[in-house]
Amino acid sequence: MKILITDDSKVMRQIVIRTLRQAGFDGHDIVEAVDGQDAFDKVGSENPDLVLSDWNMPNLTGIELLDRLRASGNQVRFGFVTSEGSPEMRARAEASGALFLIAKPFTPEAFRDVLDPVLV
Amino acid sequence: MTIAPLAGEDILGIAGDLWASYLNDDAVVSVPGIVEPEIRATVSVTGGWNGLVVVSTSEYGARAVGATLLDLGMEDLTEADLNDALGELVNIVGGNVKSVLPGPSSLSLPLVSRGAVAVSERGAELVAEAALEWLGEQFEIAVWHSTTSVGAQ
Repeated sequence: MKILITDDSKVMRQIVIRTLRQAGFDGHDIVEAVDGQDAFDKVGSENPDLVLSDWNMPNLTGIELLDRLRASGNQVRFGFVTSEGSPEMRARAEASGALFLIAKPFTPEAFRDVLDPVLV
Repeated sequence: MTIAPLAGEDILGIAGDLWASYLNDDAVVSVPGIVEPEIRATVSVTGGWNGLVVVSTSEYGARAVGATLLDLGMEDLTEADLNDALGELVNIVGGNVKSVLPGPSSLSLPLVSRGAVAVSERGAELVAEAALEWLGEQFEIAVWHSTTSVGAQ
């Protein structure tokens, strides 16, 4: 499967990639995007199977990215990886069509629990 | 009597999870204010609650964070990497702090600054603070609440 990892922090993109590997999800194609606009463009050009996105980013936030994708008719599977994991944020994410929200800091076990049903 | 929405123990809980997840070694609880920091990363929270979350440490401490998060040697770390790493640290702490404060509110992108900073407490009050020692370096985390009516400046 192809996974698009979107975060304005290179550090966090590296942590997500490493955690995917630690959770047993190596062997997937990884594409990186540096902000919401870059991610929107790459969803179009790379056709990923899953988008893992930060929420708070310059140019286009994660929630704006998801809203724009859905408004354009793109139903790519989408999940947030964000420092803001309040019930309100989770509800907002779900309302926009996100499958899940993983809160930072996360563990490989948290990734496994959330992604096992998704990365089949 | 107003009960503070956040205490030092809450900050230590957030920091403990962060260190355990990403920074390999255990950090130990320290005392704020015993070391003058050299570098600070800040995020602001605006909306239902207005204030700042600040993570500060030494240059060496920030470099150690960056090297650990990126799995690089400290000598291979660029300035951009260091700023990114410390910025992400305060983003994680700030996001978790924001989650327990009144909302709805939004979190800014992080800002990293260096050098001695004189903190003016006009319009702001310290809500909670905590300190950790990791690899011999002091890390301080402070949460400031804006006491003006127009939000954090």
